[in-house]
Amino acid sequence: MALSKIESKLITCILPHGTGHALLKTLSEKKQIHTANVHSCRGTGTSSPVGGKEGVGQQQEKDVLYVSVPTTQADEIFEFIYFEAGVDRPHGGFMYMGPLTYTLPFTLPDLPRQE
Amino acid sequence: MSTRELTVLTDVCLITCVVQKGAADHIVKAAREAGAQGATVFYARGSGVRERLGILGVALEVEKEIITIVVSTDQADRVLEKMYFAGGLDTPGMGIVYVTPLDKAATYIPAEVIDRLSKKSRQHHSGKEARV
Repeated sequence: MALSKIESKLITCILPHGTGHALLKTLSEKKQIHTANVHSCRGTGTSSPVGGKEGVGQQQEKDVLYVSVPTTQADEIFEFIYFEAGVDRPHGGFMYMGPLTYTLPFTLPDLPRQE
Repeated sequence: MSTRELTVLTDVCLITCVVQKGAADHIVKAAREAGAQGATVFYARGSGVRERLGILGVALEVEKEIITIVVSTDQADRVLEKMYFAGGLDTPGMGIVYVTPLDKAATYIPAEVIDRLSKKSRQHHSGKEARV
C-alpha cells in the first residue's frame, strides 16, 4: 500500500505556563488542526530574572506546543498562533518553525463531539 | 488604530541536547555564557549505553533531560561546542547533541529595536549602493 506523504512543517511554541491547552482548543475549533500536542518544561529567556541555581537565571515553568501542519498552510498557521497566543506581547513566549521530511495523514473518527 | 505586525527572525537553528537527569543546568549555563539567549529543559525517559553495561548500568540514570536552545546560525557551532564539552559528551554514554535547521522564529521585539535594526540595514544597503 502506498502511503500518502504530506510535505509539512513543525511549529513549536514556548508559551507561559497554563496557556498551551487553550491554544490547543483554539487551533482545533478555529483552524480544524488536531495535530498538536502540549507538554510542560522549565526554561530561561531574555526576560528571565537573574539569579537562580548554577547561575542560569531563574527558571520558570512553560508550556511547549508542537503543531505539524502542511507546508501550504504553515505560514498562515504560524501567524495565527503568533497573534492568538500573544507571542507578540512582552513575556508572551517564543516560537519557531522548521521543516519536516513528511507526515502521514491524521484524521479523527467520525464521531459526535462530546463536551 | 494600531496594527499588529509579525517580525520574523531567519538564519536560526535549534540545538537539542539529551543528557542524564541533573546535568542540564550546567550545560545551559555554558550555552548562555557562549551567547545563547534562552533555553528550555524537559524530562524524558531513554535508553542507550545503560543496556550495554549489565549490572553496572544501575549507575546511569534512565531518566533524561532534554535541552532545546534556539540560536542564530552564526552562533550555532560555538554554542554547540561549549555544550558538548560542558556536558562531557566526549565520554561514551553521556548524551547526544544535534542541530536542526529552522525556517524562522518569532517573539516580541520592542519597537525601538526594530527601528534601530531597520536604520542599520538601510545604511548598510545605501553604503553598498554608493560603493557600486
